[in-house]
Amino acid sequence: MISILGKWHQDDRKSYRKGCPQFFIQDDRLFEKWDDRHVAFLKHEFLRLKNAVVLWTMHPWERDARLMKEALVKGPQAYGVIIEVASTRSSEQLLGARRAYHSLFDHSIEEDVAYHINDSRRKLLVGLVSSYRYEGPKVNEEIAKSEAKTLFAAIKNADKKNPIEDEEVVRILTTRSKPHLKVIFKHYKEINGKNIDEDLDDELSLDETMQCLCTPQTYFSKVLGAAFQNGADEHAKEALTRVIVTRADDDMKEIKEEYQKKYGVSLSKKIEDAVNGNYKDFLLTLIARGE
Amino acid sequence: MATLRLPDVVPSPTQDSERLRVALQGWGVDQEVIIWILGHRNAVQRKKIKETYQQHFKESIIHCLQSALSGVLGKAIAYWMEEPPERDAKLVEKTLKRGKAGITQLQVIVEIACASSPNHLMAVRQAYCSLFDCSLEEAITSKVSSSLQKLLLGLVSSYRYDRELVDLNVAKSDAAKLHEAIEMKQLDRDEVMWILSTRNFFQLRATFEHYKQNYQVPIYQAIMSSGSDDLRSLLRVVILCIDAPEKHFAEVIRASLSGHRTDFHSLARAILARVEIDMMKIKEEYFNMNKISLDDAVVRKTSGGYKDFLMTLIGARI
Repeated sequence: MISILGKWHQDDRKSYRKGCPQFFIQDDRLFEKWDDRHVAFLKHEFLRLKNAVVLWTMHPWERDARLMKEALVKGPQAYGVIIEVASTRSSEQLLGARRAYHSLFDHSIEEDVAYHINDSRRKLLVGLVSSYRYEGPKVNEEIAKSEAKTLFAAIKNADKKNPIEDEEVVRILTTRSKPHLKVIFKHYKEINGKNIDEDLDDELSLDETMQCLCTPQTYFSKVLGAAFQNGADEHAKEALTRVIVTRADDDMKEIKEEYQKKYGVSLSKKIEDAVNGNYKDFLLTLIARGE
Repeated sequence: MATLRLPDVVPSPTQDSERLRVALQGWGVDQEVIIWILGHRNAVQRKKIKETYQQHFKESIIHCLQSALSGVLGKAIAYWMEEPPERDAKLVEKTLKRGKAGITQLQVIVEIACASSPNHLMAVRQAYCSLFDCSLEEAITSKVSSSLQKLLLGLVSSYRYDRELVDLNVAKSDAAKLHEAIEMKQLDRDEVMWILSTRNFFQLRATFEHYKQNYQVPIYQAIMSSGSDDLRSLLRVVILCIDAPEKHFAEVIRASLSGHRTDFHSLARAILARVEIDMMKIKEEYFNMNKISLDDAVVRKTSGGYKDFLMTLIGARI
């Protein structure tokens, strides 16, 4: 595009303007005027591409640190990104992000989370960003069973005390290894007959945390689905760049499979239909990596 | 300031390994040579010796030292040769394994979390996962009573900012929050734990200083005056380790040397951990507390190779 545009003479550019009535309106004072909506649209598309490229070329640690900081600054509706980053990364990846956060912002992430978040999610979020989970396969079945009972009791007691502020619930979710948590949820289903996420309808953050920890592909495909919905807000749409750039090297293949299963259409087809320009091409290239 | 003395010209790790091999293999183990070499090498040099010894002789030097040197000297030297993160991870595991862990045992965890660098604490967490198939936090959960668990979990999970950045407004507001919690006797508030666990050490020292100036009493005294329970005792250790670790370690050393039986393990632990950090300050503190020098106290209460080793480390013996 740049090599073509850069070579156009004045006459070429005039022909372009006259030949595209959908972008340029003939004005009474005898010139072809850019349609304002399309200028805004182009600016927006270039911005999205720029954001995607900048995010893609960043070191993953810096990327995660900046994503968490941005979420803190944006406020409560963005705190889900903190849950996402803290729960879907490996222990070493999260440690790297914490290091980068020191360099970029002169504070520790847990310090900033403890001091800027004022709602019921604070305890959970401080714990999540501070975790360094064991990543081996060893699981203590007895402890997992007993912790499943603890979670069950806390959820049943939700009308008296919000489970997200229950110290035991937070401790279990923020310190146990991912394999251990999967065993807990298996026992939960045995005790209760229902999956734990079915019981957590009201507590979105807890539900998201559990999904991120145990079935991140389900979580990510849901986030992508929300980005494509009609009426999706800016925050939901930005998730498209964030999810694709941050997962392209990790579990993109599994996310694509999950997306296809859930929405009945391939992710690439959806991007083709819903997104434009170089930004679209960039996203499609990223999700095709490793194929 | 460190008391560890290094030679002007440090022999190569190969030379050291060969000398140590000879000392370990002879008819009678030559303790003098072992103490002379290892007692004058810093952490980086000791690591190189370990690696070189393993390469040349296909054996772990720590195993050789433990077999050749018996009793408390053998344990102390093996401890000295471990990588600090592995050493501390094993120390915590042993401490927690002992059954009911009281303040004297749990203060070991506080020392690691509050009296050493954030990078060291992080390295201990990593080492713990590799060595024991669970995270440090999970180990604390299973062995520590719930009243102390929250504070310890917070302390070991933190990865504090490590540069000197102090905000006096934050010092003021944090001091006020701590004061309120102390006055209301609600020391198990989340906020207390967050302030002590997440702020950088320089910020916390500024906060404690502000507390003393504003409320006319040092914060740890205010805590102890407000009641007496395990949580308060632990909080006192936390504050001391952050604000004046030399005072804490001087106390640990004093406690290990008092009484009929010297607590060899705690004495070695405290000395070896601080020899390369602030042993000089600890010695000053020790003298202020007890009116007798640490050198004299160690001579009186210990003997043999163990005594020689400690004296070498604290700079009392060439």
